[in-house]
Amino acid sequence: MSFVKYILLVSVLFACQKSDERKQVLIFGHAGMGLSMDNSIYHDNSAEAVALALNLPACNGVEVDVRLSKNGTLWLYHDEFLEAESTGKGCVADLSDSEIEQLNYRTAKKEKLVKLVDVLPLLLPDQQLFIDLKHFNSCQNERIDFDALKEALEEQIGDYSSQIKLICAYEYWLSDLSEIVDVLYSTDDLNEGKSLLLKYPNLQGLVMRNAHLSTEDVKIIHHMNRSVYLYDIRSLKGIKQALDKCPTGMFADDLRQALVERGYAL
Amino acid sequence: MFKRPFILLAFLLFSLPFIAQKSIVPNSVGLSYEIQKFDPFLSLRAQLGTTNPMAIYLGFSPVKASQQVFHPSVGLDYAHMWDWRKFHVGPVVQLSSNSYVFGTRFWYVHAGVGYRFLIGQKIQFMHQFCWGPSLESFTNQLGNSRQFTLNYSVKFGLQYVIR
Repeated sequence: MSFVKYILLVSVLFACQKSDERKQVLIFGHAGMGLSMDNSIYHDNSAEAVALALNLPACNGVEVDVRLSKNGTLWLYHDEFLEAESTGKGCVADLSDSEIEQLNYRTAKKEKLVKLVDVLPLLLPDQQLFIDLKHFNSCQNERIDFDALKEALEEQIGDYSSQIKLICAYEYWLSDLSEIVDVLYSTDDLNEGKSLLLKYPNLQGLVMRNAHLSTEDVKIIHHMNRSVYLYDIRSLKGIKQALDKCPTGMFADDLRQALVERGYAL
Repeated sequence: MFKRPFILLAFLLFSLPFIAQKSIVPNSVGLSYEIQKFDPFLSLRAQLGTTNPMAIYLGFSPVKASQQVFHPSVGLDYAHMWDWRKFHVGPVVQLSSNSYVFGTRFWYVHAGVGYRFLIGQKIQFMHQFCWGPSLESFTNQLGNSRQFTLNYSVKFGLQYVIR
C-alpha cells in the first residue's frame, strides 16, 4: 500500500471515529426552541416552544428556566424582570399565581406564561428536562427562600424525577438539591467547577458556555466521571465546534440545525 | 419598531406610478441567494420578461447540503416594474416551498409581498425583499405538527439578459 493510500485510510478511520463520537452528544433545546432566536417561532420558555422542541425527531429533551412564585409554584420564565419580555411588571417571586396567569409574552402569538407542571406531561419517555433554577429575586435584591423552593420541587416534579436534572448556579444549595434529583453546577469558571466536582461527590457535572471550554477541558471532566453540558450555541459554526468537543450534551439555540448536524444519536 | 420602514416602503412603491415610467423587463436567467428565517437557498432562476415579469426558481440549501441533507426549494414570483433613473423598481409577490427529510419530512410554504430592485443592462444585479406568512409542517409519532409564523425573504442575485 502506498503512503498516500495509507494516509487516506487513516484519515477515513479517524473521521468515522469522530463522527461516531459526535453522534453520542445529546441535544436539548435551549429554553424550548432557543433563547431569543428568530427561527424558534415561539417565545422561549413557552409551552408552545417546549412542545415543538420535544416533537422534533431525535430531540433528547429541553432546558427551561424556572422561577418560584409567591404561592410557591414553579413558573417558566428566563429574565429577572417581567417587563423585559411579558405584559407584567416586577418579579415572578413577588406575584401570585393568579396574577401570573393573566400575563403573556409581548409577541405576535402572545404565548401565556406556563407552569412547570403543565410542560412535564409533554416529555416523551426517553426525553430529559433540565431545569435551570433562577435563585435570585432582583426586585427585593435577595435570594429566594430555599425551603419553599425545595418543597415546590418535591411536590411539582412528581413522577418525572427520573427524567429531570436541575441546573443550579449557587454552590450552597447543591448538596440539598442532590437529595431530590440529579444536579449540575452552572459556572463560567472551569477551576471553580472542577473544585466543586471534587467537593460534592453527588454533583453530576457542569454546565458551561461553549466558548469557555476546550476539547481538553471536556476530556478532563469526563475523566472525573462527570457530565458536561455546553450552552450559548447559536450559529452553525458554534454547533459544529460544540459537537467536535464531544460533551455529554448541548443546549442548542438553533435546535433544528443542531439535530441535523449531529444526525440520529447512537 | 417595524412600522416605519414598512410605511416608508409602501409610500415609495405607491408613488412609483407618478414618478416613473412602466418598465419592459427582458427575459433573463440568473442565480440568486436567499436569506430567510429558516434556511438560506441558492437558486437558479428563469424570468419571462414583460412589464409584469414572472420568474420561476429552483434551488437548494447549501447549509443542509454541507450536512449531507438534500433540501430543495421551488418558487414563483410576479412583479410589476417601473423605470426610475437607472433602476427597475417595483412591487413583487412570491410563493415558494421547500422540503427536506430528517427522520420525517419537513415542509415549508412561504408567501410574501415586497419590492424588487434591478440595475444593469446585459448583466443585472437583483435585490428583492418580501415579507409574509410561512407554514412549517412535519409529522411525528404524536401526529401532525404545524406552525405558522411571519417570515422574511431577502434575495440578492445576478441575471443574464437573453432577449
